[in-house]
Amino acid sequence: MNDPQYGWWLPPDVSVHGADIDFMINAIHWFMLALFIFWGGFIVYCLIRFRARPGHVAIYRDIEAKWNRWLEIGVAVAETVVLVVFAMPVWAKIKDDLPLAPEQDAMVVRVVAEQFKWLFHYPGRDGTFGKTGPEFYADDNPAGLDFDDEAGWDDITVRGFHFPVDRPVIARLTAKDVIHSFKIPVMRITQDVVPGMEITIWFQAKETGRFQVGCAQLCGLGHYEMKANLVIESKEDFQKWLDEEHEALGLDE
Amino acid sequence: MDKRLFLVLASLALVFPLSSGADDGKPWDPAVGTATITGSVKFTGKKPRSRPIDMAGADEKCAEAHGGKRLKPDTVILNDNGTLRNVFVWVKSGVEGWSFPMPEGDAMLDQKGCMYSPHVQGMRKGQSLSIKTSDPTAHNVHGYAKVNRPFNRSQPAGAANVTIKMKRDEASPPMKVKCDIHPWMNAYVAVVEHPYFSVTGDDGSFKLENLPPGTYTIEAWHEKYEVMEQTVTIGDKETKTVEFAYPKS
Repeated sequence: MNDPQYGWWLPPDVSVHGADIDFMINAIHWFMLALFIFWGGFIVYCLIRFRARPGHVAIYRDIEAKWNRWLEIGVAVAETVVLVVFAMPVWAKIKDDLPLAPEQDAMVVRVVAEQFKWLFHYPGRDGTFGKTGPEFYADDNPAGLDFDDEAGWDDITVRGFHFPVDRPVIARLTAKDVIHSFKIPVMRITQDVVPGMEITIWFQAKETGRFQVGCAQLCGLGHYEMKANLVIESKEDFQKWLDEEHEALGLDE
Repeated sequence: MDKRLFLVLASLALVFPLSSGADDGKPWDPAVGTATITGSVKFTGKKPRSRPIDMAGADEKCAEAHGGKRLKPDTVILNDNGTLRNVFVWVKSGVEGWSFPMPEGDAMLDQKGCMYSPHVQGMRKGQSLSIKTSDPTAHNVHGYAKVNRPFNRSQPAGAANVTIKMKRDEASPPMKVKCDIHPWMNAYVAVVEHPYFSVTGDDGSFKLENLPPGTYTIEAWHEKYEVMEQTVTIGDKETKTVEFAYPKS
């Protein structure tokens, strides 16, 4: 597996919503840098200005200056603005504003996390997911499909993640064993995956490319190996891949 | 001898006898091992469905070893003659009291093309299990032993064999071995005190040779189906056939 080298700053952003997240990450980091420089300088100034020397004693009393209180209120307001104006709307868009309308033509994929790999489950040619349940998980059935359900027999269950560009993707995330976290750095997506729950998230890519899915929650000794190849491709290439995967199922034999 | 010391030693001798029974039976006498039990494991049910494994999405190096061909899980493998492969058949009871010579060398488990080979095997108690990697990618062998000590070892490409000494019997059920990096990889290793075990191959047959005459409980184990048992009494220089049929109806 080729591990992409992302360099020193943020990895490339190929998602539609990613610019908002990058703005927030950048704004917070520059803000922190400004705070660090100011307070760092202030500490150095105080160390010199108020150093211990004969004839000077410490005063154990609060600062009485008014501007100090206004500064505290200002910091609280700035933090609230970052949270309410920037963070919450992005979160609400990804979490609650699901592209469920038929004209939005979202692709639905089920994602199963296990120690220590991802599994991606597509509904197959009939467009219907087969019945799944934790009671069906087995060595020869990692997706937990009910093998007696014909709707599931053409489902595609693979270890690499493919999805088309310029089309919303709804991911239904679930875990088999412990808490994992579904992370696609280039899609600016990070979402905890919890056993016994199905957590839904959506995203849309604006560029094609080959990237990687990772796990962002320490999930055991093999956590570092919990990754999957990610291929974001054109509509035609994605359809071609789906056809190949369908062929690989050997249903026509 | 002091009377009290004698009492202490005598009670210790009762609690911890010097010879610990089964482990130190009388040395094996090849002259008595004349009987043979053979048979096969039929599969009478409907062929279970299975779906191909996608190795490439997780690790291209695994997929390259198979030239792009998708493998099916090795959980249930049916042979052309209607028999079931990878059933572990062994003498569960009836051979106590002997001390059998140990085989030379280790039991081998190979990781090739991100699959374990063999998928099911038996080995002797006290023997070592040597786990080899033939793959250009990293593996992590995780032995889910319940009686022996469990192990979990990382094995990068080209690493030396991982060798584990199996000190206790663990055959019912056998120990499961998994790869933490490639979840489709799993194998089973049964650890037996005596040499009377066999794994059904591509003809579904098994053979337990050089048994002393006696009455034995034969157990058949498969990873997906229930354990089965049969009792056989066998005389000197006799060969008897035992048939198993899966799944249990």
